[in-house]
Amino acid sequence: MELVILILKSYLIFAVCVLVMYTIRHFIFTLNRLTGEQMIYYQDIVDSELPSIAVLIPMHNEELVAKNILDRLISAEYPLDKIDIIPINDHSEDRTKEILDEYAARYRHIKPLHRSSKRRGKPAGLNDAMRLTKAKVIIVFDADYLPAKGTLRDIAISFKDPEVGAVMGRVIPENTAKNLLTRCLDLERSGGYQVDQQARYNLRLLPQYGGTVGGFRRDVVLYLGGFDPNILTEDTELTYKLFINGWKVVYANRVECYEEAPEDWDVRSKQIRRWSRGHTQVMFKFFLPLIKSKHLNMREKIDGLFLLFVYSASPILFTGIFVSLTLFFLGEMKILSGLLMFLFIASFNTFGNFAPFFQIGIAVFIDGGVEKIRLLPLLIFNFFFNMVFMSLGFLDAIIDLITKRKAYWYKTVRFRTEARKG
Amino acid sequence: MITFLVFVVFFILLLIPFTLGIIELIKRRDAAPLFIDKNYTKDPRFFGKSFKLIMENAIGHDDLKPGFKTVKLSKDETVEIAPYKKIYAGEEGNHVSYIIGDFVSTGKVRFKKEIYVKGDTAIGSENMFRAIACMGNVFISEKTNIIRWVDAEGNIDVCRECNLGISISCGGQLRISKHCRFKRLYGLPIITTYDIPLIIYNLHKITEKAEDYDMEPGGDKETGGTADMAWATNDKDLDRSRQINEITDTAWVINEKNSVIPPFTQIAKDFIIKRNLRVKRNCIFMGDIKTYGDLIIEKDVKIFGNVFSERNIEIGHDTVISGDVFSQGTVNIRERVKIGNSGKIKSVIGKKGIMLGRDVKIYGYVMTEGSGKIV
Repeated sequence: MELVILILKSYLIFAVCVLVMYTIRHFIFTLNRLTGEQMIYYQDIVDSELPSIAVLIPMHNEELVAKNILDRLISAEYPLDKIDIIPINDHSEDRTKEILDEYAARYRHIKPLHRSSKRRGKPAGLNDAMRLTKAKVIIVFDADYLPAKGTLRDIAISFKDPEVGAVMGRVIPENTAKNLLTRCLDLERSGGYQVDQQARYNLRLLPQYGGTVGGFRRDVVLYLGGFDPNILTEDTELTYKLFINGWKVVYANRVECYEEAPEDWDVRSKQIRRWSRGHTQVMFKFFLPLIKSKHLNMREKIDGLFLLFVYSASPILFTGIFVSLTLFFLGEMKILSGLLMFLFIASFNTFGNFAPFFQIGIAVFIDGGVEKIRLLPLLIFNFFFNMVFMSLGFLDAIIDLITKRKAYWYKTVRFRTEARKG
Repeated sequence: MITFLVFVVFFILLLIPFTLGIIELIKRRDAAPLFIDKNYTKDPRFFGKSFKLIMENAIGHDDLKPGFKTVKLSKDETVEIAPYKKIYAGEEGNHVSYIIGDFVSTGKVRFKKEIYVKGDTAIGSENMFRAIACMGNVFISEKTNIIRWVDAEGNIDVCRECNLGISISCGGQLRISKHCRFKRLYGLPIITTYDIPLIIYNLHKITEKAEDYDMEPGGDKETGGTADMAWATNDKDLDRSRQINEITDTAWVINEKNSVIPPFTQIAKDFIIKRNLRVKRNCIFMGDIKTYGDLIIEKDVKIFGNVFSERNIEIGHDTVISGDVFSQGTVNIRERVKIGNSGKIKSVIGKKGIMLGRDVKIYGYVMTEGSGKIV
C-alpha cells in the first residue's frame, strides 16, 4: 500500500510541475502580447509580382456552404492568370458535386477534383489536389470559411520571404451569438490567435499552421513527402515537418476570416477529440526528430515540445484530479510540507489557475470586447468539457499506436442556414 | 437548519462569479462577431480613392453651381463648391471644398477640412492642411504640415521640411525634398531630392507644369537604362528553384554574430543567415537575402531578389535591388539607391523607421510604423 501511495504522490507532484510549466508559458505569452515588442506581418508589402496560387477547399457533403465560399473566392482580388481554385469533392453523397460542376462550367479557374475511389480524408485529398496544379503556393480553406476580398493576396505575399514555408491567418467565429458553446469558442479563439499565436510569432518560437486560412509552398511540401493520410491533424504535422527541416511558419494576425463554430456540444466533442488524437499522433511521430533537428535553437525546441505535448496536459490533469481525490480519501494529502510549499500552492491557486483565463481576457481586451469579457468564468465548463474529450482523443492515439489501426476522418457537421450565408 | 443555511450560502457564493456572465449570455450585449471588412484589399491610394468616391457620389452628379451645399458624407457637412480657388496668407478654410478647377494657397494658410480638387493643386509654404484628393498634379511648398493625407492622380512635388501626415500617394511621380517626414509614400516612382525650386503661385503655371518636372539629368546615370535591361533579361533567373543555404563558404565568418560577404562575390541562390551580415561592395545576389541580425549592404551591390531582415537594414549608395525590402527594425537607404523597376511595384517596409538619402528611386510603396525621414 505504501508503494501505491508513493506512486500516487509522485504522480501528483509530476502533474503539478507540468501545470506550472504551462502556466508560466501562458503568462509569458500574455505579457509579451500586452507589453512586448510586436512583430509585423507582411501584408503591408505591395508588390505587382504575386506568386501563382492554388486554393484548395476540402469538401465532404458541403452543399450547405459550398456556394458561399466559392462566391467569396470568385470575388477575391488576385490576378486571374495566377489562380486555380480546386474544390476537393471527397466522397460527397449530397449535392456538392453538382454545385461544383455548375461553378466549374461558369468559371475557367475553378477546377474541381472529384474523389470517390481512394481513401477519404483531408490529408489524402490535399495530396491528390497538390499534384493537379503547378502553382507555387497552396492556400487552404475549410468549406465553411468566408474569405475577404484581399485574403488571398495577404497570405500569398508572405512567400516573398525566402524562409517562410507556411503562413497562418486568424480564424474568427461568425455565429458567436448562437449559444453558450459558440460564445465560449469565440473567447477561446481570441485567446488562441490574438495572444498565443501572435506571441509565438513575436518571440520567434513556433506559430502553428492551422490547416485553413493559411498557405504553404507546394514544392516544399511535396519534397517533404506530402501529408500522412493516417494523421488526423495534417496542419500540426506540416508545422513540425517545416520547422524540423529549416522552414518557418509565420502568423498573420490581420488576415482574418470567418468560420462557422460548432453549435452543438456533441459535434464539438467529436471535433476536439479528433484534434487531440491527431495532435498526439504527431507527438509520437515528431518527438525525436524535433529534439534532433539541426535547424532549431534551444528556445524553439522547448516551445516545440510544449506545443507537441499540449493535448497531453489534459489527461495528465484529469488523472491528477483522480489521484488527488484518492489521496484525500486515503488521508494522504500531506505530500510536501513547509512554509515555502504553502506559499507556492497558495500563489499557484491564486495566479496559476488563472493563467489561461488571463490570456483569454487580455485577448478579448485587445480585440475591444467590452461585455463579452464577463463570460470568462463560464469558460470553466468548456475547460472541463475539453479536458474529458482531449483525454479520450489522447487515448485514441495511444490505441492507434499500439494496434496500428487506421484513423478515419470525422467531418464537422455544418449548421449554416439560408439566413446566415456570407 | 444551520447545515441547510450553510449549503444555501455556499451555492450563492458559488454562483456569484457566474452572475455577470449569465446576464451577458441572456442579454447578448456583446455577442456580435469581431468585424471583418470582407471587401478589404490593400491599396496604397485608399484614402484618396475612397474620398473621391464619396465626393463624386455626394456632389458629382448634381449641377455644380458655385456656393455652399450641405451633403451627407460621414456626417452632414457643408461643402463649398468653387470653379477654382486661391487662398491668401492668414486665411482659414473651415469647410470641405469641391474645386472644379485648380487650387492655390499662398503662405501660412490653415485648412481644417478635406479638399477635393479636379484640377491641379499648389500649396504655399508653412500651410497646414487636413487632406487633399487631387485629380491633377500637386505641388507642396516648404514647411507645410499635412495632418492626414494627400493623394493625386498625377505627380506630386514636395519641398523641404514638410510633415507629410499619414500617407502621401499618387498615380505618377512622387518627388520629395530633404528633411521631410512621412509614414507612407506611394509613387511611380518615388524620388528623393535635395530641394525643389518654389513655383510662382499662378494658376497658369501649375496647369502647365506637368511637362516641367525636372527629370533626372541623363536618366538613371548610375544604373542607366542598361540596369533595367539586365533585370528584364534575368527574369528567368528570378524564377529559379529555391534552395536555402545556412551560411556558405562564400561568407567570411568573423565571429558568432557577424558574417561578411567579400567584394565582387556572386551568389546564385537565396541566402539566409541567423546573424548580422555585411555585404561588401559590388556583390551580386541572384536570389533573396534574409538575415536575423543587422544587414549592412555596402555600395554598388546588385540584388535581383527580395531583402528581408529581422533587425535593421542599411543599403549603401548606388545599390540596385529589384525586389522588396522588409525589416522588423529600421531601413536606412543611402544616396542613389534604386529599388524596383519601371512598370513593376515593389515596397520598402521598415517597422521602426525609414531614412531615405538623396536621389533614391523607389518604384512603389514605402511604409513605416515609426518615423520616416528624407535626410
